[in-house]
Amino acid sequence: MSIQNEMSLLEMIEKNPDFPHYIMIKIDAQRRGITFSESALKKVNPEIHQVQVRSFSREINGLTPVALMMRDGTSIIARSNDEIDQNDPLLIDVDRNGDIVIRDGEVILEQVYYWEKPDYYDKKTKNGIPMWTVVNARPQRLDINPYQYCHMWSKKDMGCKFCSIKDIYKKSNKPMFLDIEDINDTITEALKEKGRFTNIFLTGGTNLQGKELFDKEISLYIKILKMIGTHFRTNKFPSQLIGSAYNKKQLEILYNETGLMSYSANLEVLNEERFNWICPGKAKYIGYKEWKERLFQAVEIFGRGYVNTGIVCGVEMARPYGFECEEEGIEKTLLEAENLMGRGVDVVSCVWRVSKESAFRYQRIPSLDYYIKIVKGLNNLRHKYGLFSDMDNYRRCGNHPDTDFLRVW
Amino acid sequence: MVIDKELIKIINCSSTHKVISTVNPDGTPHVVFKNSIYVNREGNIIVCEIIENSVTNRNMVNSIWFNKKISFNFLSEDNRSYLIRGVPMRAIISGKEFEKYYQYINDLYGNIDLSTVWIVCPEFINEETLEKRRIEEMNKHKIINHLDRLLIN
Repeated sequence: MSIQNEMSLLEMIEKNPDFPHYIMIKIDAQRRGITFSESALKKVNPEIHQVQVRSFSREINGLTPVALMMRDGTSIIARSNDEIDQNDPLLIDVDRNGDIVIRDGEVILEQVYYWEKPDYYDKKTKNGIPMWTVVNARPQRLDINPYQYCHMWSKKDMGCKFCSIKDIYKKSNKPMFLDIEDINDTITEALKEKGRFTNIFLTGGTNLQGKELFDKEISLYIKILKMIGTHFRTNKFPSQLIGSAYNKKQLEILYNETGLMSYSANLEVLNEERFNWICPGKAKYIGYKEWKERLFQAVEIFGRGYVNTGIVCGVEMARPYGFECEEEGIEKTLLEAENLMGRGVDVVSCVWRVSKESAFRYQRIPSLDYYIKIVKGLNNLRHKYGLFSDMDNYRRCGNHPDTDFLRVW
Repeated sequence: MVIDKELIKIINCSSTHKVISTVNPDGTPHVVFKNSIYVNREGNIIVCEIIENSVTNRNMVNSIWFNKKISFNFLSEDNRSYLIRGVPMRAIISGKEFEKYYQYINDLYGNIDLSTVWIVCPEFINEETLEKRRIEEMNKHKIINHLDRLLIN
């Protein structure tokens, strides 16, 4: 990864006065990674700050903050140097006033805060399992990953090329499936924290098993959602599931039998040819066109604004089969996004972080300018088609620079 | 800029009429009454925004993003009026500080949600009470007056 010969972040902020600098800092921190100075680490208080996370895609248990928040409430969920290869990371440091700041070289960009951990993080389930290992927290969301592996990695050359689930699983020494009772204990405890959580989020690795493809995956989610539903007086409760692309019958069962309110199935890359190369498992078992069809069907069931698809923005530029140049990547990605959004499927982007453990570990990320143009483009399309992804906005997910703009319209 | 004790008392009083004015992206003003405005221990103005997608909340985001000022007016029970201009410094959406205000708002208004706790740093404060402003105007601009008001009878 190299970001030489690009404009500096400060120059980009000055060049784009209509683009909030907070979101630009977030994108660049995700793109380049972050590192902590000694004085910044001294500011970490494990009694207050969140320094532990176990998910299917991340494992942290030390004294490094899991994520940051800026003054405007924008989160930065960026990987630190022990998670991704970094050439030129932004620095988390302490300024003269004793405030924690994010810096690019000598330039202080903004003040930042470490995420605060919820109270349940220090408690254990009845089985004696630390609750932070069962359900991980974002500032306002409870994240449950019932299946911590992915079947695609059990098949030869079927895993998504940007993904590092397999290696994280192997390094973490964790159970493949979460225990349902542990989930229940943890959710019960978390919901006691008034004013803390606004959404329950489920996702995990693909499970291909079942009478029909994904039947086992979906039945596990249904079981958990039903159990969580017993806590609420309403039939539906604020929730999101990122799952595989289920067929119509499976989607109807999921919607009708649980309190689930929103659904996502990530295409990861918006181009069939690149999808086939980068996500060979998804291409083999479902296929690009069918994946899209299933998303459209999901809109009929869950409604406009409650279905989206995530993309790992930037992987479409990977060598050797990615788009030739950034202009082509932007144009084709937004063209395909319009095809989806025009039919009610919102498209939310994550910034590609080149994981040390992924097949794409030696790839080069696109420029900051590339991400700014994609984010602006997605936002314009969201406006045009009157879409919103409240379940994936700045306060529930916090990982999508484009949905951060939902705050102002 | 420091808010004096008397004004803090007025702002934190539940019978005070509190108005917040923000600017829409097209430059038009947006003015609403908002009871959930207070001064905290640090002397900053706290705006507890109940509705996530309110125009005020969206304009506050625009303010912190693009450094646009916002204004308040506070009208006390005895008709004293105060203008405060400032700029949003922080939007608290999570954590113990947020939860404290969430509980406070719930205790005050019943079972309602809270979107954001805005912290606004006051940059300009002026008393706008009519009688006070009238005397100031008279002293500073002596020539501005309707003649009929100066007649003997």
